[in-house]
Amino acid sequence: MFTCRDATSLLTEETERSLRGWLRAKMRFHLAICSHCGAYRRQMNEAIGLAKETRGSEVSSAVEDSAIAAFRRRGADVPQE
Amino acid sequence: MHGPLTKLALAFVGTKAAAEEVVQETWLAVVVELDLFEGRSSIRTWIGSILVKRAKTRGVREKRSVPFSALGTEEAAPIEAARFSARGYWSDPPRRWDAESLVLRKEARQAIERELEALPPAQRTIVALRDIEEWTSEEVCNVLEITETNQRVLLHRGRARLRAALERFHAERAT
Repeated sequence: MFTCRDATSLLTEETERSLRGWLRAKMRFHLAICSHCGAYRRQMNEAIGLAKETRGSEVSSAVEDSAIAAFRRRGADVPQE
Repeated sequence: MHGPLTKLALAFVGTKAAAEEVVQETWLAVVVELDLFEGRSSIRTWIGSILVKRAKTRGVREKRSVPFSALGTEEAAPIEAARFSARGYWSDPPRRWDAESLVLRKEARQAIERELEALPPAQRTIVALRDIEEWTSEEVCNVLEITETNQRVLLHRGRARLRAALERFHAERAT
């Protein structure tokens, strides 16, 4: 029998579309009829959504300075036509 | 891309400072080796591979030579066994969370941030690359040289811990 423990442990495989055949069908059926597992999946998606919102775009100035200096040195090595 | 590279380096080295150094070395290597990029993989995977090689070397020097695939797979199941009956059905099911206000969402996001920092390094890396930076499964597996199965296990455990942290956050607010 496909249980709630099975469904929650296979959630990521389900979202990654790596479940196949009969197992996939059992998972879909279970999620359709089990409100608790449906809630668990929604809550996991909410956690993932909040994690996405933590994305920053910082570049440390030391790294940026190094990269710019390296590009300038490369430019100095390129033969001028 | 700097953020995800730092997170990736942190899976192999001990400190954020060391991770920043590895990322810096990686960018310099990218500048020097850019002509060698043949386009057989995405540029993101190529840069990630350069970083992983350097981070691993640094990690070995720091005596942190546990294979990436072994990190974060040793912990217990993501949901406590006691929350299921002996037959495998919920005995302590998830509770409904209150509708969100903007303030609540900000605090919830902070709870997630704290849990992200607390994740085992491998889980943190996979969640950061897959869910935050939206790398594909193939890119992550290629750069980290792990199997799809291994990657899925780490991703699932990381996500389950984030969900559990959010559950604790809402439970504390409800009391």
